Amino acid sequence: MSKNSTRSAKHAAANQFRTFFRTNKQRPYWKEMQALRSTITIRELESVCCVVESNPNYPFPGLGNTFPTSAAGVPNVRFRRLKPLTLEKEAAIQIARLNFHEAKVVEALKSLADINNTIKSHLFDHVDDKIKEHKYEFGESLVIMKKELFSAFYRGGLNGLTRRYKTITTGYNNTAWAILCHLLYDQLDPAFNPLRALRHWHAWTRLRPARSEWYTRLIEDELARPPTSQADTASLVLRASGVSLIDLALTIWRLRANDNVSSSSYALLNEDIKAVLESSFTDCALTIPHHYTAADAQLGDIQLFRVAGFFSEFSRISNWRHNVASILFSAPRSTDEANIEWIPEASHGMPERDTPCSDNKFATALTVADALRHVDGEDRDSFDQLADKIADTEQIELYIPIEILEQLCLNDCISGSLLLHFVLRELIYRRSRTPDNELERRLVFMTLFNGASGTTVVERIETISADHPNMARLLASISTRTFLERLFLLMSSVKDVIETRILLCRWLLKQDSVSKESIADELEALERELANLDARSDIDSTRVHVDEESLREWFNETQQANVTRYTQTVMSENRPHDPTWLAKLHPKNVDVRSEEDEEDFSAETQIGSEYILLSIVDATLKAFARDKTFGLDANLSRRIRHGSLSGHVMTPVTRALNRMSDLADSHKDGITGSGDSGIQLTVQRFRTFMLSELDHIRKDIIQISSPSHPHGLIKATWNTAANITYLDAMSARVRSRVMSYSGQYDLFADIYSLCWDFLAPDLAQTRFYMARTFLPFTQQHLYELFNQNTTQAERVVSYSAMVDVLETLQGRILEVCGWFIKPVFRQDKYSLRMLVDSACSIVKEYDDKYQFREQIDVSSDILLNRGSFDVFGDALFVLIGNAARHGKADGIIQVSAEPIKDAEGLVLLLVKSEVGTPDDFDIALARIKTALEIKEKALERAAVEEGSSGLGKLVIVLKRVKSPLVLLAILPNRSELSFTFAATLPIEISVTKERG
Amino acid sequence: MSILLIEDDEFKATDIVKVLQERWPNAHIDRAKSVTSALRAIMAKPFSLIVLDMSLPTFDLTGPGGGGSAQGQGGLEVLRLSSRLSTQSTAPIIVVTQYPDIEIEGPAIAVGAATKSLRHRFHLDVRACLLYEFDGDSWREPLRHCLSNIDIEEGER
Repeated sequence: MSKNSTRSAKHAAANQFRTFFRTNKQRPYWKEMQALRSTITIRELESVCCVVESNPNYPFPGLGNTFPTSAAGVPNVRFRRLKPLTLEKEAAIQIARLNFHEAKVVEALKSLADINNTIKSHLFDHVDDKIKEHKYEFGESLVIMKKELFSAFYRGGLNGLTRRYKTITTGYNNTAWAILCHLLYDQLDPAFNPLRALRHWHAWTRLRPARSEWYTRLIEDELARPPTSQADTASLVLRASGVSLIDLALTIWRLRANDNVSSSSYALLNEDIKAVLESSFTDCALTIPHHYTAADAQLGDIQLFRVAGFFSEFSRISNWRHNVASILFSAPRSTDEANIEWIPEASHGMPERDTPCSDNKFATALTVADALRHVDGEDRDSFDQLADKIADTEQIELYIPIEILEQLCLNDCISGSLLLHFVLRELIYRRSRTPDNELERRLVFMTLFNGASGTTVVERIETISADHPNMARLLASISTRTFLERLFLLMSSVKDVIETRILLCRWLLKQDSVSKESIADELEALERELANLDARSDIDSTRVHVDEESLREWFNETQQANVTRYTQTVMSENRPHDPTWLAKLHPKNVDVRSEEDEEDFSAETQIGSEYILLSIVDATLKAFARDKTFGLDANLSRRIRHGSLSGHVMTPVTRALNRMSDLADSHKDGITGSGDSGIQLTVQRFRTFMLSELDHIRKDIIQISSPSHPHGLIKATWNTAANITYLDAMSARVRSRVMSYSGQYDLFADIYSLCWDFLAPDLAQTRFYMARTFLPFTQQHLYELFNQNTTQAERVVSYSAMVDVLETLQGRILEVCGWFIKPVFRQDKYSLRMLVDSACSIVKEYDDKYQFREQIDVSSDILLNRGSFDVFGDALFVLIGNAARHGKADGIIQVSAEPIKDAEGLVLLLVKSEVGTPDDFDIALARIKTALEIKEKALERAAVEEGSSGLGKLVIVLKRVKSPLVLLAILPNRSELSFTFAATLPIEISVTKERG
Repeated sequence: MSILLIEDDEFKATDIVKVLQERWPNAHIDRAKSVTSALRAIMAKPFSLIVLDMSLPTFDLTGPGGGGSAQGQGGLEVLRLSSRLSTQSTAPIIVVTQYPDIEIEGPAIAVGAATKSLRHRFHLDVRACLLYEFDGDSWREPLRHCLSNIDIEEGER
């Protein structure tokens, strides 16, 4: 290089950064740096580095990070806006920087090699000292963080790892450094399948915005995902330069080993650096921590993949990981390559290790996955065998990109093997649970079973089992009750579904390698249900509901890995519940970087069992509330928002309005001249108003809150002060149960119950809205229309009809409130006392005038069955509602229940209410008697017409209880100014479907 | 000609049959009352016209064990599976529902605007989506109008 050129490059660099020279003011410098990077030539790099690199007069370490002393700058956020140049130039710039720092880089690499040798010798006491010395000399780096975490895990297991994670990230919780540390923690965590960790982090990076590329590119690299283009490689080189020079040197070394960086670019690297890389970072035998050894002292070969990530600076290990990644991530080979023998290089090139592996599941899965990538030909038998092998390979879906599976489904060559076709559809569905993927899976299943006409599902599975036992087990396990119910072309009734599932359960119980306990439980429940098939109750059909069976199925399919991780983490933590954990998620308690880094990592940088549980709860709550097939939203959609709400309110209200209108017709001559009367106008306008308001409620209010439904009252979130308390309590409870049962504890019931607890305030809010906002608003509107549109004479004639409309409206809206009550969970027995408490509490919500105090004398020993629980529930809401409506606003309501001595199984229920004045007593009594004296013929009509008291409906409900001893009576006491409702009901009721 | 009416509500079915018979007095109207019976009927023979409800039980309510899981969007399931059957129906389809909107894998679409979405989503000849009102007649005229645009000979199919 000529002296002139050198001088001009130095001047150009100095001039570019002139404003930063000896300045104390912090401001962005990336624009100037990018301009310089773009304009300098490769020949000028050496002289530019002399000016820029490690120049204490500048506020930056160089054209990238050098040997950062603080973790806050690893990776350095202030380089994040730099754009990668061409690969050739980017590599040249970064190699020039390495060459400039050659002496220290060589020393740093030698120090790292020494640490690796100490790890290889299992001298972990020395490893920590050497790491400390290394950091003192050469600063922080990603590769040293890996060694630190690995060493901590080797020595102290998950607890040691957790402690080290906290040491490393304390003070940097909300930084990319902590995110990278969390990624490494997940990769080491013995309770987390490394492939799941890989998929999880890969999905996480894909959700991050493009501006996050400065650290997501590093994460992708850690996940072994190789660069797919030169631009990608240039980006990785640039991002590695933002971490540290030692990471940069190792990245370029690895990229060269995988042919991502050209030999001509690599040739620019200083010979001393190359020498130490080649001598110390080519190959090593992996050190496998004993914590990965299973209880039966076997080591799974998947641990090689996990541990290899911590030694990926070795070129041979890096090569192997890239081969594995090509199976895990890449697209199918082109057609001309399709006949390649399906022997995967990945499993054959497995690294050496210091402990032999006795379990080869990882290699097997890679082999099967690679076989699937190259499937070709027309040999149906071999395809069926492959399907059977896939069915026997655990979590095989994690090894194959979904795009490959989809392309294979379109491949003509597999059409002859329905077994392979089905298993492909099953894997696609496991990866992406869409309705279309679910249907495709069912269609192939139905074709598979329809093909053998005249045979049952179980017989067909038996046949398949002869040659393909794994496939038969998979088919039987998939055929859950919900799945069978959707086999429209195979199943013809609920009975058919239950009988088929019973046979399948019996078949599964004869097989090995299935969870016999859960199958036996299911079988018992199904047999019970089949025996009582005609006594099912649909009484709850309008109450909010979540399909628990489907949610459980979803939970088992999607959350089982997380649940396993949670229980294993709890067991290894072996500590009591941390009561402060939720507070750490609060924004005010999170360390926030003051600089440009506005990314929110507050949740992602937390570790430990509580956070795993939180992620399970969060996912389950989302499915519970928002799933369109079985969640609350589906129920709201089909049972409440559509049809039911408008029909339930408007049918009786319209009839009451019609009676009002008829009244106007019958008095027309005496009231008005020609045209619509004021009453008719009121009726028309009120009906229109109601339809519009109900439509608004349906569309906007009774909705799960979301950006498209901002006024939805159902928030379905755990993130409120009250719900966090529930969550914390549940976390403590579950933790202690997991520990007491040595990890063998089913979390689902607790989480399902917790979801309803989370929902309780939302349901209360919805009831409150209907009773306290919507009802007064509609009543007020009717009054206004009535007063505006009618004459005095019309008002006199129609006043009683208008009151009828108001009361009908009130009755119906209060009934709608009853829909938003947390359902009881299906169990054999229910407490009457609990039901009375709930009924009193909910009736109080109906009207702010209801300030009554309740005195309850009901023994907790009185237990109801499902049928009587529904009937008692209806009775209590009606009776306590009437007691509140007709009683003193602040009076006492006494509720008592006791078994009748001479009538076994019968309970006498009494609801007593005080009345304010003798006049009130007379009016209330007259109304109650009218409602109770309802004629037989009018009973059916009452179910839809009668509104305010609900007593007519209760009469119907009680009539349907087939017992001669069921009674309902009113016991007035004028001298005491009180009345008592008395009902006798059996504690065991069998309710038929027709009743609903 | 043969028409398939997929509707589980007797009252609504009677209402719709009256309008269908106004247009084709001699038409043979088959009835299906659940997703299962609808799909079996569609597979069994071709129809000249299908009138479809959106809210359907999985099985006929009269069958042993009742209707199975409630399906608010059972009509969508009929369309989804029909579109994938080897004997894919080419009959024009009219949706008559009490649902003011239809949730086609995402936000709800008003019934009036759902025709095109259903047609494109399932590649079926969906002609119209009409809102039925149990206590009003406003649905009749749009249905009559829609039927008048369907050109099927009485003897066909």
